[in-house]
Amino acid sequence: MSFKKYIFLFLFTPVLFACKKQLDLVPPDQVPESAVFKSVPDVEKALIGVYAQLNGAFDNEIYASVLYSDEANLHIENNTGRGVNTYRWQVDATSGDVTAAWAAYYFTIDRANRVIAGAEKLTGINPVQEALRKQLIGEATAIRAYCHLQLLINFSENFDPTSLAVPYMKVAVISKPARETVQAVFANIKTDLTNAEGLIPATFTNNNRITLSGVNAIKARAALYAKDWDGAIAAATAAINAVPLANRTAYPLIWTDASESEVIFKTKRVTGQARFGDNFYDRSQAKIMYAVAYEMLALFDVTNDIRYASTVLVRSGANRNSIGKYVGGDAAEPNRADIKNFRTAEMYLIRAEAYAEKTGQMNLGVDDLNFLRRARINGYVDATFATKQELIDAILLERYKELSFEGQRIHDLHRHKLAVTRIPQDAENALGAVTLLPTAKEYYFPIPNAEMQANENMIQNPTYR
Amino acid sequence: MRKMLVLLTLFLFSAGILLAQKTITGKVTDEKGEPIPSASVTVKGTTTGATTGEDGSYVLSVPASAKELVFSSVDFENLTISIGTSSVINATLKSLSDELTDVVITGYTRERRRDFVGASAKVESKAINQVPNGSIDQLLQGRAPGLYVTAGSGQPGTAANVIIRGVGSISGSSTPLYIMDGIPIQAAAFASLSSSDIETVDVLRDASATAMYGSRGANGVIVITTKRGKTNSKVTFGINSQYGVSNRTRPKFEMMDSKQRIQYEEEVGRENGVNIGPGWRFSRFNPSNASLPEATLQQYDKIRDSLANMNIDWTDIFFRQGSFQQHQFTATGGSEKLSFYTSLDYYKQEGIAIRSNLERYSFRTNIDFKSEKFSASLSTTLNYSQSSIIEAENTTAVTNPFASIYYALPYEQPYINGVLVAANNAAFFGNVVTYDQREGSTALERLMSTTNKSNEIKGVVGLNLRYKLFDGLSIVSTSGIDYREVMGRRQILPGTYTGGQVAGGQGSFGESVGRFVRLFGNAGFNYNKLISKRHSIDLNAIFETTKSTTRNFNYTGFGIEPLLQNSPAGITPGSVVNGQGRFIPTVGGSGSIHALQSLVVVGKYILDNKYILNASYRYDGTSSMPLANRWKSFYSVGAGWNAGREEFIKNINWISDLSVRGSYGLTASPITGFGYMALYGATRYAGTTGFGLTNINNESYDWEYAKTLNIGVDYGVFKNRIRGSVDFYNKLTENLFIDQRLSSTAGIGSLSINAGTLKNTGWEFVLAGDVVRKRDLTWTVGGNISFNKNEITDLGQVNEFILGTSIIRVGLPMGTHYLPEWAGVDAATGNPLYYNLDGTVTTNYDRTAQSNVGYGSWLPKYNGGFNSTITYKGIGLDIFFSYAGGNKRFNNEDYFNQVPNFATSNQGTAMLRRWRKPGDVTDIQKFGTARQFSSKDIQDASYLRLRNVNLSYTIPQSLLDRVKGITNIRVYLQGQNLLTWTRWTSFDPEDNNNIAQFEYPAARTITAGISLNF
Repeated sequence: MSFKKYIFLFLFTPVLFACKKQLDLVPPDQVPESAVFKSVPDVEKALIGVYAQLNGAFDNEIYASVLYSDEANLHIENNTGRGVNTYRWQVDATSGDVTAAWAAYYFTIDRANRVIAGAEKLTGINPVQEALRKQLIGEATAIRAYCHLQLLINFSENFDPTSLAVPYMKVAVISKPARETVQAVFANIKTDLTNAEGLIPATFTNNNRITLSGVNAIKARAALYAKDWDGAIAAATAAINAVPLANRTAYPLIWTDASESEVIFKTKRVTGQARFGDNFYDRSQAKIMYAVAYEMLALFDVTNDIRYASTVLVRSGANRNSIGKYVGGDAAEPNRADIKNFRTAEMYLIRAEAYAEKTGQMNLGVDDLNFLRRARINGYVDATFATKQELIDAILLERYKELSFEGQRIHDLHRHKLAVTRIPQDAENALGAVTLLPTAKEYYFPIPNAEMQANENMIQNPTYR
Repeated sequence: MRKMLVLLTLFLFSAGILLAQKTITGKVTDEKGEPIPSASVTVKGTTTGATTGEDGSYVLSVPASAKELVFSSVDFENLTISIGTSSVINATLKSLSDELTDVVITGYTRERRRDFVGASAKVESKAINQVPNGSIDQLLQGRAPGLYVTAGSGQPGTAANVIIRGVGSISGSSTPLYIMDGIPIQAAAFASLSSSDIETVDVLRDASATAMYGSRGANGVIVITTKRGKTNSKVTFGINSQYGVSNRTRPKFEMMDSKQRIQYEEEVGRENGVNIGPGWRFSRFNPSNASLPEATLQQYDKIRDSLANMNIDWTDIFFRQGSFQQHQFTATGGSEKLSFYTSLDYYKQEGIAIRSNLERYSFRTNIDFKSEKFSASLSTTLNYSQSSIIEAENTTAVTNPFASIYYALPYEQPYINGVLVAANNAAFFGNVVTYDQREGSTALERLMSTTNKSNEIKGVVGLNLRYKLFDGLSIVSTSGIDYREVMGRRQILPGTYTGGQVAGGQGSFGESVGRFVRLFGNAGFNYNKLISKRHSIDLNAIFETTKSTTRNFNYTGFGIEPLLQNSPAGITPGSVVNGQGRFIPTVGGSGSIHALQSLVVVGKYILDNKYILNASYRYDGTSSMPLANRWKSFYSVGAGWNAGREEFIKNINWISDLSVRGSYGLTASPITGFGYMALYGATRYAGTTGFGLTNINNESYDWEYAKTLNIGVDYGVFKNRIRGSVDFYNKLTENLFIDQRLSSTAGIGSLSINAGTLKNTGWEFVLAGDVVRKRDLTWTVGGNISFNKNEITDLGQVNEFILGTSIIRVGLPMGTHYLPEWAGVDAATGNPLYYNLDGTVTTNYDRTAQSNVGYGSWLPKYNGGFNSTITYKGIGLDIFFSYAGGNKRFNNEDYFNQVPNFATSNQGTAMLRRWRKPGDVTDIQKFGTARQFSSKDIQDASYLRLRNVNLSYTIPQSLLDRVKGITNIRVYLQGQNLLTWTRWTSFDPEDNNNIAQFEYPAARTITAGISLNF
């Protein structure tokens, strides 16, 4: 055999799959950042990515509120230990249940900032695409404001204007920002929402995304927490006008996702996605984890209040009052339901509270409260209120019922610096977690420990320092 | 007188030829037929002699009086051959069988251990073949110094966690590189490979051995060599069959029985007002029952009595005695130029948990061709295996059978009239009959209504070629493919309760396919020459390229037709009904790709067989690095001194062998993926595809570099009756990836930056000795111990951070537990007490403010193994122990069995001694106080384990001679994991992580087998 033949044979193997370009590989399942922001339709895909990140963020808040407030009780069937420490207010800065919202919202904000920056950089856009680009920037800006609002609601020391709130992120950057004051964050939210309002067209009505009504709803909630009563009234009114309250036929269908009535903004759950209701009812074991509080059950006019049937799902067996709002409408996938971030009912209650707080406009607040109750309760007779406080207490109680299990209750209590209290029937497995005073260490939520460790400029909430 | 005459004649005759000379020629070879150069041939009793040449041949003039020739060579046993009348005397020398003289296989080179300047250990086939364990890496436990092998699960075929010389990475990989017959193979994927085909496993630990592997060598290299045929040997067949059983080992904690449980429920109700079960619900002390009529209360008493006397052993329901069988058929032989080894292996092992098993078919054929100039070795293996896996393995979920046997209440009767009463139909029985949580039954229902299977095809093909160009210079090449395809199947059967819970409510059928392919090829030159009988040179220069691709694909279909439930044909195609998706299948998939190109130069120079110099250089380029850091150089230098060959040592009688070696080098940890790029991945919202950030770009992304210094001594004393080695190493891994925790405002949780430094220093000792070395009786004992000290020496600009219940902090080892310190139970109030950092005791628990170190790390301070081998005539007894010490683990099982959050599930008997009234001095806090993570649950997980015992009997040859054809029969009985000594209270002290969470424990397996050759 000839020499050359062997050389060929030997060198053949490695040469076969060795070439100069071999090391210039790109991951098959992902794309480099430069490829994403090339055109307006691409930017829209990145915006979908923002919504995908936002989807689930509010779930954390709902769950934390259910565990922490007086909305639910720990059911004896809960053998998983899920949320039990949080339910008993045994939390610290490492407790995921009350701190999960932090990263979820900031990650969303970062994605929104990247979309805004990416969209603004595009050049040579035709007019049709220009309108879409504006809308995308508008949506991203509104999402940025919304996420900061929810961060403020969850993690501020309290809602006094000069108290520490959260850092307001306007660019995607790796940094160690310090906390800004409540009023500074509210100012930023307001600016962002005003900008968004000018960018999102009124013709855009997809309530899976932020529409103009969505912007108004965010504005109204922000104004309520900022005690900007005029702002709250104006924004709530705009939202109410655009999206009226559901009638009694439509109301139950909201919770089965069969009706979009009065749903201003929701985060959509499609088939196969995580089922939020699993947090309260464990399907794999057919066990109730958290049940509707007896305290709340007692407040419902069971026969006439149409909300009762949607709020409570009475399961077979004794004392099995399941939370009904997240059972969903798809019998094939129980416990999967869209998460309603903003409903018109909240707008009425915000406006009612704002009117009540404004001197001389209490009657308008009474009207709003009665209007909502009339819509919900069969044969309702309008109530009258002697004092402002009486009205505000009634509004708060109405929020407890109307917005139950929608992530509002614990913050309503925070907002009014009210104690969390549980009636004995609800406290059977609370191991003494019966009253949580505003002065208690655990009353407010802590800044997550992970953030404290990564960011030296972050200051922990006072009681957790 | 006649005799005298004869003698005299003989004497005279001899004297007559005394002055005559005779020339003898011949060739000295080793057992494999390879020539032995520089061997000495002397006439016995004289100084007359010659030395063999390069080809092993010699020419020697001997006086006619010479009667015997003595052949000797270093590393070989002396051989004496009587001269007689022949003038051609060939000698085949038997190599010395002690540890110093065998061969180290590095993948690129084969070196005599004596000439090897690095640290390596060899595990022989005897320790690996026929041991009833489905994953080769698990068999290495305790067998080699510097190696820490732990199995994370007792599921048959589960790969072990293998760490060589300590954890060398903070957030990257510590997995060694595996090479099989020269081809790199996937780590932790051995379930399909037969351990019976393995001849040796070389564990390479220091830089001089691993720097040849450059950017992949930092975690050590494990070189597997499979069996091959011998040239010029008769074809022999072998059969090996063994059968056995596996049983469960018992944890040290106890759960309450029904009586204790009912009483406990009542006490908790009375003392704490909490209803955790029927013991309180039907109690006469329960205020809710106060107004009930006596008849009802009597009925209640009966219920309590009945429950208290119902003791269900859940272990009987979920566990079994697993059967084991393995059958192997081999054929091997060779002609002058061609040899082969081929084997078929069938292995079937049932796990101790129902539904868990491994069944595999392994095929291997190795063929070698050798002519004067050209040689080729082909190694091929193709394997098929099937595994079935339990639910929720190694989790604390209720559906994990290893957890639910403890969670399930002892009075939970799973069946009523043969019907399993679980979550689904408890209501059908009115809920009244089930006063328990149905946790065991639910897990049982889940286990029976689902399947979780994995089918694997694994093939490794490698070809080694060598062509001698001219004197000393050869052209060499190795190429091959490592291929693995895993097809998973997950069924949730329709018509079952679990099947009703999936989308569509009619079960699901899902399959996944994962394919891994690695193409590997290298080619280059080898120069090997002995110059002037003194200078031995070995030089390799090789170009190498590797490319790996991984592809995964999966789908799950819904709406399963029960008659076709085991086939994808049973899936109902998805559609949209009334705006809601119906039976919409899910599809998914992913892929990854990686390439590596390298230039490898390895050189060795040996002077006088005494002084050794070794150097290697490797230039690696990878697809996983940004351009700036894409190509890097790695190197090692090493030197050795065979002191045992120096005259002055030879003169010391009791020293039979001594060599000193040292090495230093630079390697890196393997990195794949694209961590340096800013990347967006696909995501979905409301049915639309979008893109989201998955990785932030990092221009300074770089390798993790390991600098290893190794100094070692090998010795043999008293005619090598006692032999061993001592190694010291200092391994500094720099530039370590640390997931720098970012403020969430950055949009991503962490960024991998090269910042950390880890130091591993240690000592390794190997010692073996022949206690008895008689003709019929030999007794050999041996062992190894490795001490490793791991320390994080630098974290760059990154702050210390918490990983689970551990902390990454400068000055501490990896895996250091970080939790508040438990200070006992307050005898006055029953509250748990914790230490503040200032040493004061408090009832407040604050994990951020009170967490402390000082409870150790889950990584051991020392580990190893020791063995004893006795042979008496045909009887052999091998006993092997493995051990690890100084490792502390977090016992989450105790936590679960004591935490009041799970009081409705069964709890440990420890709860019976809880604090109940002021003055009680106990370690169990008052019921209802929060049971927190603290140092209380950190336990010493040191252990000593009787890992393997093998008793065998080889039928004497005299008996075999009567049976024509059969050359060898051996019968054996062996036990695996027979005994474990530990203070650890939970299932299994051995595990691959810091926390015990109802992991599948290792089984105790006993097998009996027979092997015969014909």
